[in-house]
Amino acid sequence: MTIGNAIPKKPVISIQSAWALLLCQMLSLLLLINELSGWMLAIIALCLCWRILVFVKPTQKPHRIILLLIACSGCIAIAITGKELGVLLSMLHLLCFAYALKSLEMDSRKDFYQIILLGIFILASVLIFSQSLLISLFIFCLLLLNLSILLAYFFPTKNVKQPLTQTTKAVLQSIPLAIVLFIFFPRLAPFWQVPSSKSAQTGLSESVTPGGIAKLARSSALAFRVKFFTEQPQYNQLYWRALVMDDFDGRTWKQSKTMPLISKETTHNIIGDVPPLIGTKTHYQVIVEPSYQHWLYSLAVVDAINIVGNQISILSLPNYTVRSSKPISQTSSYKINSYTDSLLNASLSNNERLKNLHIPKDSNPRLQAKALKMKELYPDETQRAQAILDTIREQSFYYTLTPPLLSGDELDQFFYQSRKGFCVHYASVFTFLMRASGTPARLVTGYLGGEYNKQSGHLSIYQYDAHAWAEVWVDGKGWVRVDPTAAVNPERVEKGLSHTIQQEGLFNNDLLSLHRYKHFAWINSLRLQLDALDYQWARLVLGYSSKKQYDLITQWFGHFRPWKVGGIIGGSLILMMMTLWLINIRKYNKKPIGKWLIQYQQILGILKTKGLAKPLTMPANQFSTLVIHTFPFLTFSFLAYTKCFEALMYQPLSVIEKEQRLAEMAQYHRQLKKQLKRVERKSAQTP
Amino acid sequence: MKSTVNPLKFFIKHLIKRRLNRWLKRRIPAASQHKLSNRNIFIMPTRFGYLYLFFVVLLFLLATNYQNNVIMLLSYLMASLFITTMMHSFYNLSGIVLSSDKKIKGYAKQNISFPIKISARNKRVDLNFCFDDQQVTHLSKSVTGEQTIYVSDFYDNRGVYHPGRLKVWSEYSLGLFITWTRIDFDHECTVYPEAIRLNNSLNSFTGSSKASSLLQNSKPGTDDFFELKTHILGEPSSRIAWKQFARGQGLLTKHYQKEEGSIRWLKLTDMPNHGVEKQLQYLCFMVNEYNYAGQIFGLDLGHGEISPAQSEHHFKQCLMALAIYPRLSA
Repeated sequence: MTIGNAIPKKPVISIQSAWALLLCQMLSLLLLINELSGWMLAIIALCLCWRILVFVKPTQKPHRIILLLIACSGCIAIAITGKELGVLLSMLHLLCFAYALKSLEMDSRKDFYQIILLGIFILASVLIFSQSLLISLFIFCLLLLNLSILLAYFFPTKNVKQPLTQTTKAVLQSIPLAIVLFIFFPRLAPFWQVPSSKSAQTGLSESVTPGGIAKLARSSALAFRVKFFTEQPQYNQLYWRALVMDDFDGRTWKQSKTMPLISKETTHNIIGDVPPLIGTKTHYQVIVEPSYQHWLYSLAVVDAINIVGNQISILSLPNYTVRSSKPISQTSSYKINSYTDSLLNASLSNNERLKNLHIPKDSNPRLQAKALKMKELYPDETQRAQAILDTIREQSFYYTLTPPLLSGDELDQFFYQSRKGFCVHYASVFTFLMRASGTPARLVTGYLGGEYNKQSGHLSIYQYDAHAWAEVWVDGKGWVRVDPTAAVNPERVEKGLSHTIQQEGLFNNDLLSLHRYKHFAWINSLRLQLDALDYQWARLVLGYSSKKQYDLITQWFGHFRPWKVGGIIGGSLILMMMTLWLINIRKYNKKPIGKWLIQYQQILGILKTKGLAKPLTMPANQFSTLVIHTFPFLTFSFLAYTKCFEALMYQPLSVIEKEQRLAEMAQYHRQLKKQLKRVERKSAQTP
Repeated sequence: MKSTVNPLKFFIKHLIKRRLNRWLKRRIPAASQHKLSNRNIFIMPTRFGYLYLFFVVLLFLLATNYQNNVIMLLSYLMASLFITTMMHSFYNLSGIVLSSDKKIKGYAKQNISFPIKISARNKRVDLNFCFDDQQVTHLSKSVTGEQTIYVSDFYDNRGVYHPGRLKVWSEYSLGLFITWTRIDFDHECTVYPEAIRLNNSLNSFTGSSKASSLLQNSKPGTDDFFELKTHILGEPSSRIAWKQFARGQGLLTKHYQKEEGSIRWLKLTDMPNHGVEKQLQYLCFMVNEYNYAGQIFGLDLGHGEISPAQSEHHFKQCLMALAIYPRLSA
């Protein structure tokens, strides 16, 4: 049907567009580099390199059979690895594979359309894995690029810049309606179960082995953000509980398996057992980054009944932690009340007591002996705990993030030999000593502190804020928090870890992280600004839910009625169309102002300052005689100038003629300006 | 081509087409100038447009199932862009003024160009033009101001045709929509017979009893045979000395004295008898030839004649007579 078909070997898109498309493909796939397996990346790189080869040598186009072979083998490879990849990643692999391969086979307009849509789908799938502001903006730019390549197909210019501005205009015009839809369009519950991403779990680990290395402390990735609606507790009280580890096998601490879950409903039933919450209420919202784990963060003691999860359902556990029913695979938030003054004194069953006293009989004999001795010296558990802390403080323990690896009776080795370690080491030793001396004790991991952002007033907690501390059971008081790390490194507890890391130069995971450059004041303030923006993005966009939508509509428009929503959306649609109509009318009525007219007006302006104004009704050539009369030395240039102007203004000229005239006129324009400047100087010199 | 066409299907198609044409006639009446506006522009999503919409729904499902607000925002943005694109597509066509002459002339078996004047005050892109099932004229450059383009049409046989409505369409801006209009300039296309050169071979004349009557027919006494010269390609074949050619003396052309003022008659009956259409085609060639040579000639089609003359008007008149034969006048 089209002329394109008549000339068979004509490429579908111009070479510039093709390069832009390749760039777009590369950038899109680059965003998924963490999710794709190595062999897939290799195949994709091969396809894209081949594409470049085709640019250089169009005859090197791969044969259909070769393409088919690659496609088949790729699909088989994906099918084979499907089980370990999981459904979502397999689909993603397939999508990326198709996207890269398709660029080699772009023979018709249909192929071109497909590749554009595939590209946009890839962009959408990137958003499954990350929804931060930065990534979203980058995705938006790539979307623009994709669309402008599409537009360039219908645009008569060869460069990509003009389509890009056109597309940007169109997309910007579409944004208001998109926002209205986002705010008001009914938000539905998930239709069916979707495969969730099985990405590598981040953040805290399920178990803690003091002999391991501090990996967490080095990551400057964001763990979660907190916004306090009531007064913020003191920094050294911000112990964000995540996991309680009460199962110790001599080396490793982990959560005991037989943990009864308490949901909102069951809490109601056993409410008699839960001691009343006392003290001031701290109300706050937590926005968690995806960790692909179940646990969440809270300050003890949580009001189990008033937890409001946004897009997640949250359970409160008897060990004073909260937990999501599903792994956190995307930014989610919840609002929670904590009573930080309350005691953690739910009753301790006999079973629980035994579990929290358990230590393997033959592990760490020296510490066990020491524990027994201390029990004799300090029969009271509070005094004993204090004594242990004093020991740690007074003896030459050293806080470091790079402790030596331990083996055998690790805690013995740490306590009596290496004496170098971080929070996990101190908390483990302390808990072990308490248990060995007959007091129930357990290890708690989570985060400590956070970075306060003045601009939006929120607290950002990074992975390097991860911390471990101990809890001991004191009859009458319940579980009492003891942080042995404070004994060796009070600064860690008071100010946070980040500057310790700074000193030790341990931010080795990402060069690009702005955390590395905290010591430059402006970079730090920039980082905080970006953080504030990202927080708002997470709060307003990522945290938007059907409940918030309902609240918003009732707040703005009174009672919620479906027709109101319909009216709002319909109204804004009409508004948008009318705006576009007005824009078009303006564009249509605007007479194209030629460059020549602007230039001519400029010269007229200069002449006016010299005391020669052109009457509005006077034709240009009549005016030129007037000018010649006043400034005879302008005769030649002004006459020619006027002639050019008149030709451009009133004569129908072909494109080439027009360009010639314009060039000519520009030349005279410069000449006239120079000459007129001289007039000024002359007149200034004469008196 | 499919040999079996469902007659019922064909009939229904025909019926729909007729209804549509009748409706179009009322909606967009014929005129020599059309200004495109919401009265005569149609707009529909293309297949790609529907695919895009399906894709937006897919994104929405993805976003809902993952409860992912950013993907949701993306899907809303794309849905909104769909509407923006619709408006842009419409405004790309709206406001264009198209005009064309009513009467167009051309030869059969040749592309006949219909000049269409387009004027647009601001920039327009990706315009395509065509008549029903004919070759498409695509404007690869953007249009601003006035411009004339040529849309071609093709006919196999002579006659007077109405090419019907001109389809103007564009898929700007993202290929999601096709905006089109079918405007009627009430074009009347006179198609002259295809000009076929009278064969130079002898065979074509041997069958005819009036083989050389072409020459004899010319009014006697007006010009005298003067000399024979070597035939130059392009000289009227009527002046070839066939007798000499038959004797093997090569192709020679007869030249006459007072040639300029002479009058010739082109007669339908004088043409080699290969059927009327063929004869008309030969005549068409002759008319062109004579006109080119500045020869005064008349045309006799048997049921009426055009008296000898030599002018552009006369030439056109003769061609017209050939086109509409056996009718006398248009």
